Amino acid sequence: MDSESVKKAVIKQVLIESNTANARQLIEKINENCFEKCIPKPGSSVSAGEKACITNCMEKYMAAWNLVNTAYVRRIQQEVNNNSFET
Amino acid sequence: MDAGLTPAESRELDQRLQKRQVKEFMNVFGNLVDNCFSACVDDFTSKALSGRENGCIARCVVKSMSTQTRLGERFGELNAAMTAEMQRR
Repeated sequence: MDSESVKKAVIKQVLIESNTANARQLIEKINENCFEKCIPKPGSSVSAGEKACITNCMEKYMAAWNLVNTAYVRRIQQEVNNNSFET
Repeated sequence: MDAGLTPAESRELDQRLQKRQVKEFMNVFGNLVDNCFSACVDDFTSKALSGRENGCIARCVVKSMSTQTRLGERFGELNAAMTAEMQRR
């Protein structure tokens, strides 16, 4: 195997691992946040209202995740541009 | 000091450090989303983020990042001062 394909394989592996860890962490955070926000008083079962709340909460959390991603990338690019102007 | 590391070992070390850095970054990112979500989103009667929530989250991210930058700078300043102090003695 030449070094180029080794490098590609390693990068792919790292991305898969980081995506899995990413997804796991995301689900964990959604669980925590949405339980806290939607189920103030736990009963013996999850009501229809609570289910709807959790669904909406999850959608909103993922939208927020995407938003933070975009804002973060934009900010980093800004910083890179600023730095390259100074040098 | 690192006369003991072969090139293969030092590559391995670099790889591990990089992995750890990536993990660390994902942690920071996750906490950022967590904080800004908790602070900005309270209304779960709809599936989409409202305009207000969008703006709030965007501002929250910028503020958090600026804070982190400033904290890093301050930390560096204090560290440098401490090192200079220790060298004087």
